[in-house]
Amino acid sequence: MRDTPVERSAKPMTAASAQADLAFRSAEELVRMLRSREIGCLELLEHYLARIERYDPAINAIVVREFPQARERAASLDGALAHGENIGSLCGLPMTIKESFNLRGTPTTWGLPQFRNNVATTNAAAVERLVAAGAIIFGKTNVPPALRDGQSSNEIYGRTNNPWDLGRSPGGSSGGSAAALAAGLTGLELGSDIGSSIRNPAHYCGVFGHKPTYGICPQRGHTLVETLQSVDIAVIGPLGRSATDLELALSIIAGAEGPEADARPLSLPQARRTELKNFRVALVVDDPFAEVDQAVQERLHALGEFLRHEGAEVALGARPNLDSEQLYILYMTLIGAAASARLSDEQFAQLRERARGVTLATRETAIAEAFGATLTHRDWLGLDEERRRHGREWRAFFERFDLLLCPPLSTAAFPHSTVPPQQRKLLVNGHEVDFENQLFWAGFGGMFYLPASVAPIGFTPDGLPVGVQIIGPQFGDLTCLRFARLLEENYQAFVPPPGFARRTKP
Amino acid sequence: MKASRRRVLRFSAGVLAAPLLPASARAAIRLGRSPADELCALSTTKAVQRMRSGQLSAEDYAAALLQRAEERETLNAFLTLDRDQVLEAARNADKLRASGRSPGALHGLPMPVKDSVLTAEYLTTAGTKGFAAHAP
Repeated sequence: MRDTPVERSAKPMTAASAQADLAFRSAEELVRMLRSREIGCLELLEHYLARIERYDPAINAIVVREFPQARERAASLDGALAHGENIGSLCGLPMTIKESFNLRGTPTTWGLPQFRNNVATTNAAAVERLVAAGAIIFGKTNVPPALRDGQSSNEIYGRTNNPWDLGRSPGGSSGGSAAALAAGLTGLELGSDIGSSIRNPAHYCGVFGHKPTYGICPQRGHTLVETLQSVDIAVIGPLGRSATDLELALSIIAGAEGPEADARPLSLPQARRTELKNFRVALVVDDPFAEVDQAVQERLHALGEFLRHEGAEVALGARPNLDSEQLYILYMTLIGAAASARLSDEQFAQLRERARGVTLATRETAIAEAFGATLTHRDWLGLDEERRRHGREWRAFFERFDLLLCPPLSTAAFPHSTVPPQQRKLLVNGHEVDFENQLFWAGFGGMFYLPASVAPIGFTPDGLPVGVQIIGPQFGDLTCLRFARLLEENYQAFVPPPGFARRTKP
Repeated sequence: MKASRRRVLRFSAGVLAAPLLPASARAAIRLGRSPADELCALSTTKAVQRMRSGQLSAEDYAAALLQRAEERETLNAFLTLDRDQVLEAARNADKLRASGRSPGALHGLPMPVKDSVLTAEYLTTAGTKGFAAHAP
């Protein structure tokens, strides 16, 4: 176990290797190069496509490929740039999106075989905005079935592997997103998150991710069958190799659509602090209900030491006064309810059978999700009220603190598993625990609609990446992102996984 | 609009003494109203404009409205109405304005709220027996 308080060594190494290969540069840097014509749109796209040819067979992240169309678009954007046209803030950046988004002409299956031929006829709202900003979306990345797992493996596209250790999962459900970024196969990614789906892949793969405040980014087109409702707690959000990329992407995808856009234009408050030394952060490294592996705890403690050294206020263990197990049960009930509209009639009948006889008072951790999917609307309203009452605790907490730092999940990347997540066990500090208990860390802020960024903060003794979850007040997205950027600049930036950083010949 | 015009006609035909009265009363009579009636008929926008410009004190306005509420008690519109409290609040509003502090857009405006809205100073019964003594 390394317990050097500050792992400064990571920083110079990072800068050097990230510069070594074009593919690992931040989207912000790539956009700068595209704009200044240091590199062409088609040239950069070809660089990524060549790397995909070489590296993706082992990773299997980019499972839907629109390469010919992307080449055509890149050539046309090069032409527009040559004529001095402004082609948007992404300026021809090659990027990919999670398979679960509608991209016209490509299948949206969510990894479910029965949707194999579900070809999108329109683009998701976020896709429209990214394309309008000049993105070249050249493919879509892998997910677990129905986006309901912390790994990314399904019958249609197979299994995605973690670039840091092919025997381990990149996480899920935005597992393909994070793996593709870490392996240097794409410039920027768009994922989604209801239960850690942006956050755990970012953590497992050593990249940055941001789960926005609920409701600020339109969900339209992040769906299997056209749905006009938004799904409670669920969000869409960016992943990247730099915190600044997340800010850039968020500025493009955030904001309401239609009449609401005119009536309520989004105006997120600026970051509360601009320097590390002025931040007041709470640091939670462990929880009695959702135990955290020592290797992850140590990186969090080291981060705390660093922050103190920088002059920040760090309150170890400060958190809203809420019972973890009760919160977890409430969270699983609410996401069970949120996802219920998408269930088939058969699935719904099965869950109803499982939850038979269970009541609000008797629901336990293992049955909470099934109960949530089948409860009465009246019971749901009661639970929603309970959530809002707890939410007041969080609001008071954020008057005292700017951010709460905690683990994204309990361990670093885990070995691939074929056991369904509900029955899976996870090895934490040498003993097996229920895999899904760690979703406490996803719901802790997520069920209250709070934004959370994930930033890499070092490695386990086995060399696996560890991230920190940076939870902020509702609509405090820019505070989370600013803090992530300050960590990137002063503590640790993205580090490419060994074996992927060699230069590919064009 | 039509109704008040008809009333104006009735008065102009019937009240010969009108030209001998002071101008303000003449105006009120032309509208078929006493000065207090006129205050009670003001729109909120006009009332706050007059208070802001100093033409009307919050106390006079409140007194006129309270007077009207008493005269029309049979309407049974108010569940709670505390005359002294309203007048005191109005006097305080006038003092605050006189002291030059910049008041809010409705400064000095007496207004009741529906009995379903929680109010710290008054009962909120929502018209139900179960909440008859509900002091939020």
